[in-house]
Amino acid sequence: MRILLVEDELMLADAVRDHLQASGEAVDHSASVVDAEIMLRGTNYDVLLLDLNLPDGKGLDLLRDLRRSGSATPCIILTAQDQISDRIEGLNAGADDYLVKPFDLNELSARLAAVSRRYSGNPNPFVELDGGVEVDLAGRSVLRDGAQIDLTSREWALFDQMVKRPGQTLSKRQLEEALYEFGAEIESNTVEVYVSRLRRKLGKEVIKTVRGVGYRVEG
Amino acid sequence: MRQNSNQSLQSILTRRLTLTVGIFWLAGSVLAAFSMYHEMQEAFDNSLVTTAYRYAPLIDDYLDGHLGGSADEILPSPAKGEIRTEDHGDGDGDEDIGEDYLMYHVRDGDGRLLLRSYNAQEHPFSAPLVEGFYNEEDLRIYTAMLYGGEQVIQVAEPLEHRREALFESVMAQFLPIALLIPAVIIGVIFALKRGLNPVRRVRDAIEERGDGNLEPIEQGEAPEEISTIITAVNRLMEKLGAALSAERIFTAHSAHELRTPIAAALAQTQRLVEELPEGHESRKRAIQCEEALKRLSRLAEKLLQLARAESSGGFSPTGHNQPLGPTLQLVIEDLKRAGLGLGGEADGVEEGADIRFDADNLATLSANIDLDAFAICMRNLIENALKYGSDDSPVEIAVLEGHIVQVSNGGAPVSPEDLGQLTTRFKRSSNKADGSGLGLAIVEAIAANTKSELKLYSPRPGHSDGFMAELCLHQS
Repeated sequence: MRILLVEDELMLADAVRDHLQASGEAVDHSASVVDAEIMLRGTNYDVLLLDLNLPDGKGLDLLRDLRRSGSATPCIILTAQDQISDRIEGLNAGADDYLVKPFDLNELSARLAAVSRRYSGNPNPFVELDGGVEVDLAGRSVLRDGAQIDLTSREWALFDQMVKRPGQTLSKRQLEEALYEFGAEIESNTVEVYVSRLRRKLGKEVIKTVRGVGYRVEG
Repeated sequence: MRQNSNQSLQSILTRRLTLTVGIFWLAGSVLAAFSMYHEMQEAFDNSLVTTAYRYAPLIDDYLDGHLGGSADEILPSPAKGEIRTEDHGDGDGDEDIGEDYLMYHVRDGDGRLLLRSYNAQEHPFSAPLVEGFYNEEDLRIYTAMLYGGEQVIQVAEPLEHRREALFESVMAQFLPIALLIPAVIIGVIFALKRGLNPVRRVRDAIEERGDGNLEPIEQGEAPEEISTIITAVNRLMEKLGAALSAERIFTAHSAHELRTPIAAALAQTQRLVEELPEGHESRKRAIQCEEALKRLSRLAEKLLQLARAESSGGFSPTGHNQPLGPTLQLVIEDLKRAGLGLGGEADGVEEGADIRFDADNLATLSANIDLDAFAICMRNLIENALKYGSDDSPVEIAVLEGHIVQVSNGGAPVSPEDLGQLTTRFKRSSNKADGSGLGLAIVEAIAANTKSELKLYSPRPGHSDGFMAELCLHQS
């Protein structure tokens, strides 16, 4: 997933970014509303992690503007405001979930996965694919013919994009966005390299190539 | 809250005004009666003098014609028609001349009685033969010296007649006033009721305020005195509102300022745990550090809730009922997620939280309480039930009569001594001690500030075990 983290507390932002990157997510960080608006205009993010109190404005205003512009990017609010009225206001502004600081990083991952699944149209975390492959999106585990398959974080990030949309062809560009954050170097054949690695681990029939368009999995 | 034991301004003013008017009327009437008494005495005395001198020539004639002045004689009574020979009125001869009150004696210069009126006593009056007034036992007597003292006429009037006349005059003055007093009371009550309407309106308006409602009171057409009070009250409420708002903002900011660094420290510590290899000595310490930060976070949360609940700028009734079902469901959803490892940090809630409720039943809940205050109460009550309830018995939430929430759980009953202490700060149930010991104290403080009531039962009603907290919410 490509995630935009909008958080002005740098110590917290660093830890969240490191945690999510370690899980294979691509994370861009912004510490202000203005920067976040620019980044949202230029990139399609899978999830927005949004702090409410930012130095140059309110996170909720950013979210409202985003929704008014027609964007359906899933959004999880990260805030130190714990009142139920704040939470209701956040949900009414278009947030998908609300996480009160301090929070457990694993809890953040679980919420991200749940929101992402809800948006993919398949809220069920258990997916069965061709070739006897079973995927637990919540537990981030993959079984092939009952045997556990270990995936690196980047392999998982790519595979996760396809598994959440079984039957849907994803372009190479879409898959690249799931892998890279701003500033990261993008090789022209990176997606092919990771698809090749995944096929070696899961079997050739799991990921299908749609020539000239992209890749897809069948469930 | 209106103090019913105090008398109303209307009743005080009615009583005092009626009493004052009554006393002044009474004093005026007494003065008038005294004045009347003296005037009447003068008039009666004048009547005696006039009678004496006007009768003198007539008596002289009469004595010349009848006795020649040799013996006492009784004059006939005009009132009895004894001297009436012809009709003097309208011709029917029935005029009522009335009773003769005046009596007289005619005496010679030596005091011998020559003539007396038919209603006069046989013996001479004891009054001395000196010109002037004299009071006998029950007679007022005037003595007139006639013809250089050759004859004396003494005209007497019974004092009883004078008293009777005075009494009738005074009564004629008092009776209408006595009858008017109830009418005056009714008039005063009516006038005061209308006059005090602006005061009553301001009283009702002030009574509506205070319960989280600090809106300015409308001036309307209030009289000057009331208008000044309204202005002063509005100014005070404005200051109070600003002070309460500042306190609320401070508490909210304190929470925000405290949570953010804890969140950063916790996240960094969790990253440290992740990055250190299994079995590393420092990893164990990092895990302990993480646990300590989580405990600190929960405790800070509860202390901030308690501070807010107990502060004057904390929670108070909102002034109107509002639906609470959705908020309660949101809290339950949060805690269920926490129990499943998907939700926020819940105080001691373990995985597998089983919370049962009827959504339609919860939707009936409505009360006069701030949503945040209600959410904090319910979160603490449900957390408490999940934490101290038995693992094999679900937490049940029910709404009664639209404003009473019951949260019950299974488990060993709490002793009556402990039950009475559970709302004390840092008091934990004896079987588990991983909570902050502040949950029920927070709920109790919020209940006290929102006119609600927290009742604790153990064993829960209808069972031989368990615990039930009942929050009876205030409805406007």
